[in-house]
Amino acid sequence: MIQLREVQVRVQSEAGPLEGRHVFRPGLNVICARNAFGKSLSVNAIPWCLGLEVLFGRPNNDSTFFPLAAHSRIDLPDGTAARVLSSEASILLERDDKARILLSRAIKGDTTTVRVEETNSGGVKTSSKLMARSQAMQDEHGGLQRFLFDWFRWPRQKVMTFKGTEVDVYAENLAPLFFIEQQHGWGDLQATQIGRYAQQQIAEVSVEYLLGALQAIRSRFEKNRLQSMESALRERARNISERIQSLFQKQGWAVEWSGDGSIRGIEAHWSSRSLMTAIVQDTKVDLAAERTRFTEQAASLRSELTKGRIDLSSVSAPAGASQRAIDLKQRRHELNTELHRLKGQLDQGREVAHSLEHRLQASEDVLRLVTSGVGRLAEVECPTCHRHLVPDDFALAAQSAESIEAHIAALKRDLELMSRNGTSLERALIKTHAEAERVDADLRDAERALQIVNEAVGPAREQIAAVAARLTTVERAIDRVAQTAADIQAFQGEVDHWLGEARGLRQVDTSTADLPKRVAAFTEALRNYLMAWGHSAINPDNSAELHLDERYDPYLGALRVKALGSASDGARLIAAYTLALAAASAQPSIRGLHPGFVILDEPLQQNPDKEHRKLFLAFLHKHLAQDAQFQTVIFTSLDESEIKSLQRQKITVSPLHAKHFLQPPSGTAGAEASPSGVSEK
Amino acid sequence: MAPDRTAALSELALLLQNSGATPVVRRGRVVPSVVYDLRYRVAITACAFTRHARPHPGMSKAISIRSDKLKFLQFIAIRPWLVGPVREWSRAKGDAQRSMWTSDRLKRGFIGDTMHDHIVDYLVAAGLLARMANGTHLTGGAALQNLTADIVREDLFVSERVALDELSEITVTNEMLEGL
Repeated sequence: MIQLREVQVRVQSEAGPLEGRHVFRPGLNVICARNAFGKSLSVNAIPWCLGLEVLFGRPNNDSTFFPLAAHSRIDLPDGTAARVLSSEASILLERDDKARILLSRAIKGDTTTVRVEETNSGGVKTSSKLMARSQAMQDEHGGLQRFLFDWFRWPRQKVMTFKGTEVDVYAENLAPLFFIEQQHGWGDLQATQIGRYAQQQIAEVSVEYLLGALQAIRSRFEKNRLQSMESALRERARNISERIQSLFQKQGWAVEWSGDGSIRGIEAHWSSRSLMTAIVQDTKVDLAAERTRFTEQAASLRSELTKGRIDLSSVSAPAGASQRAIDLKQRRHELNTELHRLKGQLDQGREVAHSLEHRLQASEDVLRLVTSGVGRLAEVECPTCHRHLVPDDFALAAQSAESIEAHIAALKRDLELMSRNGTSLERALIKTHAEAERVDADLRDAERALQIVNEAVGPAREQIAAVAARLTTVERAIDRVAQTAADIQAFQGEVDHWLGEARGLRQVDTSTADLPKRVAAFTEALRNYLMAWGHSAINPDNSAELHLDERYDPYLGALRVKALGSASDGARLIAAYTLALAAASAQPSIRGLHPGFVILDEPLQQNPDKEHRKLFLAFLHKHLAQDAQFQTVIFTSLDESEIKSLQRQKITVSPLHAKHFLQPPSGTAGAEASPSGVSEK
Repeated sequence: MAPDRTAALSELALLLQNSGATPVVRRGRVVPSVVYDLRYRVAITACAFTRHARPHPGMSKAISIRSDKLKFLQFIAIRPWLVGPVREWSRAKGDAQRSMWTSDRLKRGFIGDTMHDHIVDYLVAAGLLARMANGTHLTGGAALQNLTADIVREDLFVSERVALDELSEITVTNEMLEGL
């Protein structure tokens, strides 16, 4: 356990040096001062020295969340103002083995480093200068966070980000559970939790961390890591499948190669047959056989071109080239007609499917109306003669539930049929479209051949030109087949690699054995603290219904506690939650990782009504507040009678009567917030 | 209530079976669609009336609607996929060129919806709707509105009600109601 022993702020102004200091004792500390005394200055010094300015939504090393007196201008008691030349904050922390660290960081000056003066439990002193924010966790020797995690005896713990990377749990993730900042901290549980690091479930992880449930966090990390890997793998499968489908579509092949579904489902599907086998089975296209056929054709044409006999009396070459172009045009026209028909059928089919879906929904609604009696008209009778109206008399009929059920079954069959019909039409459309593209290419070749043959002079040249053109077409076809085969082989490589990775995914250990008793202790503590703070929705009769959901959000039965009670109960819930976490962690049977101090900044300013103040003071009077096994520091503003009332209860109250926290060094007595005149427990 | 017509078909099947034939009766193919179910049509008519009827001038609490408009609205609500063509039809009014492209089947289809006429007769006989003296309007009381409230509460006939909402943003002219 760690205690906050001291906070100091030193300012060097044009008018001379000024400083202020608060000294804290173990247990409950209530620091009281009027508004504008400088409480915020001393409170903000704590996260600042711990390198936690991000809690205030500030960039690294930005100290501008401090009041102006710490970094710009300070108002002096004589009514004048002086420019601040430099300033620095320090905090002193003490561990239960009596080791101490004094952390000092410039507020105005070099804000990037923190000076650390360490005294170990044997009294040996060392000092160092550490980077406050830059590489603060990663730098083993120069990073402040790394040093603090070691000194706080906090083990480093990895969590997954939504981007699929692994990052540490940082101090700024834990601090919102023990440092409730005045402006934003009272808005919600963990209101100042950092979201922009994109750590998955960081709010839950932070609670588990402070409760010491590291096994649960590791299990959560492994689950998230596996999910993240599976998600990336699924995305890759979709991507590979889309590219393969695009190739198939281009070729006009209707081959089933889906990348949707679970990892195991895709794995089973993709490993059942190779891409080449799927093409042969689903389309009867054998690329190797095609290539052999085209190669033989090319060899034959080459032979004809080089050794073939030329019939000088034949003048059929131009007519043959012309006829081929005409045939291809005719085929192109047929395919266009076919495409138009298929598109029309597909559109009509979709319309029919849409209307069937509507009819099905309407029928199911009518069945519900019939079987449940919802919306049934009361006895329908003639308003004048009170005779029951028979629908038959109006040529109307009400169907039986059995009849409607039969109709629903028929509609479902029709819908299934339309769906299969749609799939079939889509495949036909793909195939026809691809064939149309091939015919287009062949037609271009045929037109080029016709042009060459027409330009040739004499039958010999005409025949040679015709054979050469055919050879060119066949060679182009060979290249096309070879390229397609190479593409398929490359895709098969990707598929095989994906399958290897999918098989490498193993189930993770999801044991969370260390969690239930810690959560139970936290829940029990929360129950006690909520009642002690006087939360209006929780009382001894219903407190047994209080529980935490999987996100550690408190519920009373089925209702969120956040949504219960009055507006000022919100602040009471946050205070109770924060203190209960510290109390649970401090229990000997739990021995969690909570640092051991809780800072509540201005809990009364959230709702300064009388009842809220009364409940606050009543809480401070209770043993639960006074005898906690951790340190509580509350910065607030109380009147004299309230202070005296607390002092009568021997509570450590530090009333600050000076005009401002910062005073000239010679007059530190007024500024020092050691509990002078205060009874100690 | 009318006798279940499918029972007669089952009897026919039995007779055929006794004669040595092997009849297969697909009841789903012979039962009528719910479009012809009394309760469905009453429900949609109630929704159309409640959504589109307006306070009638001179009558403090009653709401009324033109009877041919109600016929048109319920016809489209039962066939929500027609909302788009109706919107086109409405836009095309006054544009002779575009008007030629709108479907005559749509224009005239709802006029021949005699079942709606029977539904209105039935509701009038039951006192749930009343024909107004001007002969063109129907008025109704709380019963149809209560029926609609039940339907909304139970989340029934959502696409029909969405269609009725969309129709409220489409200008339906007298010419359209006459199928022109």
